[in-house]
Amino acid sequence: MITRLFYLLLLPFVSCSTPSSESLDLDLRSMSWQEINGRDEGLAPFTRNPIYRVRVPAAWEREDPDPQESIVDSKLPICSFFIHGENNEQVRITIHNFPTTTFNDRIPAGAQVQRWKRQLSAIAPESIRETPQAHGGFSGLYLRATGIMDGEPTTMLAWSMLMEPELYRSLEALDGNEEELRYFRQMRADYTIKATGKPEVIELYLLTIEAFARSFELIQAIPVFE
Amino acid sequence: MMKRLFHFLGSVRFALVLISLVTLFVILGTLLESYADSHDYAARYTYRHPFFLGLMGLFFVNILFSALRRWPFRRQHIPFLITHLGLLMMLAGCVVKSLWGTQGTMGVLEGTASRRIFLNHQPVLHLEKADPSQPGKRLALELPLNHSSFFSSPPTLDSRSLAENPHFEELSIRLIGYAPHSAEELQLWIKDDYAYIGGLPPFPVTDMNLLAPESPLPVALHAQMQENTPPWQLMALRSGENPESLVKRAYIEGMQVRISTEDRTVYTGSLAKALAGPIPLPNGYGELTLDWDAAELRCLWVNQREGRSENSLLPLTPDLFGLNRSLDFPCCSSPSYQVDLIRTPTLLIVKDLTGDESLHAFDAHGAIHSEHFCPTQLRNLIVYEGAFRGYGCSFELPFYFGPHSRREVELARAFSLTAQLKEMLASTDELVPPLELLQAAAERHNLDLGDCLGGFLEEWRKSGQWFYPYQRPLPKPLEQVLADIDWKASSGYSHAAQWISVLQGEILPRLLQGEELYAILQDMRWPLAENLSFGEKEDAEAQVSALTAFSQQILHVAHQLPPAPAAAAEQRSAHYLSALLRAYGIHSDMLIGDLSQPPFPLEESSQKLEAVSEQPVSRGLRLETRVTTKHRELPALKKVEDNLPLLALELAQGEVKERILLSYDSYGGGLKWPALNGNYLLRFQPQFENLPYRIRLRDTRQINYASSGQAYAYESDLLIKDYRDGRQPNLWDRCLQACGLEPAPLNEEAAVTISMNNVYETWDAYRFYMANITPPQEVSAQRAQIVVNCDPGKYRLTYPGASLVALGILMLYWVHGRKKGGSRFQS
Repeated sequence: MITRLFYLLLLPFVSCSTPSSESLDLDLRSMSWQEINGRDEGLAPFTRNPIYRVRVPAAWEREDPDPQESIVDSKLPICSFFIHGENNEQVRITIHNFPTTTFNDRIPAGAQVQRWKRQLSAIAPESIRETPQAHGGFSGLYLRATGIMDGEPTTMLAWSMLMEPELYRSLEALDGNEEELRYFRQMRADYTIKATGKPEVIELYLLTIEAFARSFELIQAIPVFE
Repeated sequence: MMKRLFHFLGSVRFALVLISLVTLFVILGTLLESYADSHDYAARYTYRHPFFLGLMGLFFVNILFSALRRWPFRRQHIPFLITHLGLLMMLAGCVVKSLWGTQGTMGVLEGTASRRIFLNHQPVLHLEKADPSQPGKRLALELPLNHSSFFSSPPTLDSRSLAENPHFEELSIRLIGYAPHSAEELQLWIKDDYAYIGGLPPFPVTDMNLLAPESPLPVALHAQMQENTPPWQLMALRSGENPESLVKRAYIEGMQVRISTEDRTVYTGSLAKALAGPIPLPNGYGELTLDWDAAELRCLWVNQREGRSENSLLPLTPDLFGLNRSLDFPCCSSPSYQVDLIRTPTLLIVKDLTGDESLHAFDAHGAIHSEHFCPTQLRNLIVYEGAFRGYGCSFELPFYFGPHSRREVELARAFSLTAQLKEMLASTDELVPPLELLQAAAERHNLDLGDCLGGFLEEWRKSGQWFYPYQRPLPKPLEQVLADIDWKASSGYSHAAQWISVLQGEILPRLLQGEELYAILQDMRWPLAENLSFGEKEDAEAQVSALTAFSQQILHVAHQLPPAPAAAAEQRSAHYLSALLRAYGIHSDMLIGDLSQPPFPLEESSQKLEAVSEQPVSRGLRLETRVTTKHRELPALKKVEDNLPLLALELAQGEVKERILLSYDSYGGGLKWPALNGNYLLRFQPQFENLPYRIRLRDTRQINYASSGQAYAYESDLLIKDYRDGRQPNLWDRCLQACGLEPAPLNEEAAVTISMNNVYETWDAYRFYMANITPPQEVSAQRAQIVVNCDPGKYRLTYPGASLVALGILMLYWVHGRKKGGSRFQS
């Protein structure tokens, strides 16, 4: 009788468990936050402030730009990561940001995606997946495509994210000294994340790379007028 | 008497009466809630009704007195007393929650943080004015509105705080009317029956539903947008169900089309007629198709005599407009026939059935620019003087004002190309061989290499051929320079150019017939074909790259090839130069970008057009209109939460008086409206309250059922930061410490994920629930609606009370069982 009572009392507790969505896909706890600097303004000394943070698995190798060289040219990445797989196969992840002074200078996400598609030749139409994305105050497109790059079969995972116009305007309207204005300009920069590697290697790290890109955010919350 | 009353109030009979009445109220509440689909509607007549609240008070008295009736207490009363103490604590917990608890909602946009919640049951009139002592700062005041159950009866404005506030004491506000429910409409370009554009007189709006289908579209006004430019015709229409077809009709009506070859016009007529059927042309016919969605005019040119056809395209967007583009082989970018569109420039304003407005501008050469204006989601709102002077919205006309026909755009493009070449040549020390040859010839004629090369590339582009045609003449000075190229001195390049011309001359017709380049080279037994990279057949850019690489291969192996058949000396120079330039990837499209890009940087465009047209040309004009509101009184809804009450207020400051209508802004995020000559801003909104926590929304997402668009759950990743000086460790923290475990950090940001069934609760009983996401799809940054409540008595009264009730009931069973001869659990 006591055993029955015990199980009866236990029943409500057992039936109330909520599964964590994180545990369904991959163990995000193995990832830790890392900060990423923005761009300098092209004037020595090349000061770069930490602007972004992202969750990175411990095994990934990070490469930051040379502090002695300017990265004012937006063709240069602000940070790169390498995932070393078996047989010296690696995935390269590059992050670029595109600081703009005015709203109209921004590059549409669709234009970036078209450019990336052109980088892959013999692109298999069924491999192209373009998904709208929104997180951290940015929205844009996530491209997943497989084709040939430099003569090798390559899968590309790429995100082109633009700051929400309302937030861009909000940052644009902020006043401050020269240094603060430079910081706000970096904050409202749009960004891209691009991962390229052999299709089978990318497949292996797909969820981790997606979680990495999804966690990319500004260190500071974007101030809004309430 | 008092004793009898005391015993009655503590009696079971009284308790039964109370329980029966409460049960009746609960039944009634359930029925009303299901009838009106509104908790507030049911609560108005039941749970928040004074009679029900009185019943709760009597319950408290009944429980208290029934316990006190046991005085003096004995040991066997303990379970009974514990149960009743628990019940009293639970009732007291309800009172504490209703008096000091928090129940509100916060809306946070991804990437931002907020501490502010709004309390929807507490409407206020928000007032703002500029702070005279601190420029740029504002003073704010909120006047509460006393109302009963969501404005079921007239509210009263509590304006005492106006008189008490020295910054607002000169202002008086009187509530002169109200409606329990209303609709507020933002009016943009069309306000009632007139259209308004800043700087122009209002012009009438025509309702297309009242007009016969065939009647021509009425022009309301002619206006000169800029000096020395043709006037624009302005139209304002209220459309039926299909506004897009109306706009398309307006575009086609009054548009003329001119089709010409390089030297003469072969067709002129209306666009409507040209779209309707084949256009007779020398040696064949043409067909035009207007792709309205892509803003393109697609052309098919059929040469019946030669049995071939050609496709070309005229982009109609302002940036790309002007240049006809061949679709068959992009590097031969100039098609055989050029299309020009001509019309009176027109601005069309259309208001559709949903209240959305759209503006469409068609310039004198048929370029289209449109913008959609949704009053509830205005993207380009203009705020005049911090909203104290109101609001506006704008529409850019990104056109050239001044001469900018296709020929002028082509000339300006050539002008831009030459400038770009000169800049590149000035910064280059070493020239590639074909440019060296051209430079030597240009120097002999005292001409600049940039001018010669720019002129040649433009003539080559206009020819529309892969190589410059043998028979095509050039402008005199350029022809003399090219004829003077010393091919004998560089016989190797002359030899290579001949072979490039011969081999590619064989390939190009086969490519145009749809054969694959790789197959052609295999067929020709070209030994280096395997080293070339071939893209898809449809990928024109890849085809051009492969042909360029093929030219380079020929260039490198030409010295091993036998002599090629040569053309007559006087005809070949331009042709051979173009063949060599191909091998080095030099062509106007490659230098200046293909025709899917704007012809030249926008900031330079006006200057270049002015240079070629010798008349002032400017680009872009912004039209503005004021944003106003229109209110409509509506019948009150049964679901009272959805009602948007309307207030009519009379404001006075000294002698100045103004009446204003304000609809309830249920999220408090809408516009504040100016009053009294822009001295004040007003908004009728819920009361806001700051939480002691700052909530940052990192990411929010809708999780759908598998293979479905139906939401299964909403989730949000939050960072929650306690804004107080530092919380004290609570009982749980102390328990964890006693067990040797580390409690949660005090005052640090907590990263949490909340969902609809996964509530986050802080140590001091603030609970955060996920309620909604807008928009549900990730098409733009999403806003999460989070419900926040706080029950300060929960851990001190409600939960301990409920535990005591449970304990008391168990003890009652125990005592009762022992009296019968043992525990029930043992039997």
